[in-house]
Amino acid sequence: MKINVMTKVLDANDAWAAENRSFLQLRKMDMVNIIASPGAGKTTFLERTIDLLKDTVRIGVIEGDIATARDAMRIQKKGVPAYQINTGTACHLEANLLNTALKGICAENELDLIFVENIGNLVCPAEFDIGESAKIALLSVTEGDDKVEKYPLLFSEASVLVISKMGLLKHTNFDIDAATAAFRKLNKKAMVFKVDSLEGTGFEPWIEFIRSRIAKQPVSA
Amino acid sequence: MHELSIVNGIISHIERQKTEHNFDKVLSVELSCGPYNCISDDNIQFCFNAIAGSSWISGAKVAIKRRPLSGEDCHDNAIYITKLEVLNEDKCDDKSP
Repeated sequence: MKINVMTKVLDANDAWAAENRSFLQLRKMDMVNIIASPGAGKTTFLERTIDLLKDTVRIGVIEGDIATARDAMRIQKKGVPAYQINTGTACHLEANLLNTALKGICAENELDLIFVENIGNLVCPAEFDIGESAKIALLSVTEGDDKVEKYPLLFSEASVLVISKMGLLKHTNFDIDAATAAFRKLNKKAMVFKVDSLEGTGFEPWIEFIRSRIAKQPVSA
Repeated sequence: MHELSIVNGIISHIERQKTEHNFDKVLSVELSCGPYNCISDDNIQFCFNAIAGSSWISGAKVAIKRRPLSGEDCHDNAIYITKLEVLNEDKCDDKSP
C-alpha cells in the first residue's frame, strides 16, 4: 500500500520556531541567527557590534556551543545579558532549545534585539529554522573564497553575508569578487558587508542594517 | 549530525501515519528535498537503520528525490516526506518470502 504524505520532516521544529516568532512579536523584539565556521570570528564580530549598538539598543545574546560558557562570558563582559546553550553533542541549535533560552534571557531583561550565535558549523545550522527573522552568514577571508559554492544551503538562505577578518586579506589569496559572484549566483537579494572586527572597520553599513530592522521590528521567516 | 534530527522527524511521521492507516511494516520512505540540502541517501539510511534498530520500522529503505531549483529565488529547501510504502500483514498483499 502506498501512502501519499507530503509533510515537512522538521514540522515539529517549525512549530517551535513559530512559537518563538510569536514570543518575539508579542514583546516587539527581533532575533537574528549568526552562522559561520568555528573560528570565523562570530564572537568577536558580536563584541564589536555590541560596542557600537548597546547605548541605543537593548541587546541580548544567546550563545550555542557544544561545551563551555566561554563565549557567553565574553559577551557578558560587554555588559549585555548572555544565555549559554550547551548541546553536548548536537552541532546545531534547534527551535525548542531557543524557546527555553528566550524565556530565560527575557525573564529578567527588557530587550529589543537578540543575537543568536549558532554553533560553529556551515552545514547543519542552516537546515533548522529557530524563529529568527534573518540568517546572517559570516565568512572570514582566511577560510577561502570557495566556501560559498561548497556550502550552498547557508549562503542561499542568508539575508546577509558578512565577510570578516578583512585586515588579513593581504595575507591570503581570498578573491572578494569571486566570493561575491558565487554568492550572487545563489542569492540575488542578500546584502554583503565587509568588516574587520578587531580593527573595527566596515561596520557602519551593518550597524545601519541592524538599526533599520529595530525600527521596523519585523519578525518574519 | 543533523541527520539524526531529520530521522527522528521521519520516524515521528511514520508513527502518526500508522495510527491513521494501521499498517505493520514500512517497506520504503520517499523524501523530497531542495537542491542545496545537506543530506544524502547513504547518511540518512545509516541513521535510520541505527535508530530503527530491530523495531517494527527496521528494514525500510529511504530514498531522496531532489527538487530542481525553480525560479530565480527559490528558497524552499524544506525536507518533505512524500510517500510511504507500507504493508498490512493481515491483508497479505506482500507475497515475498
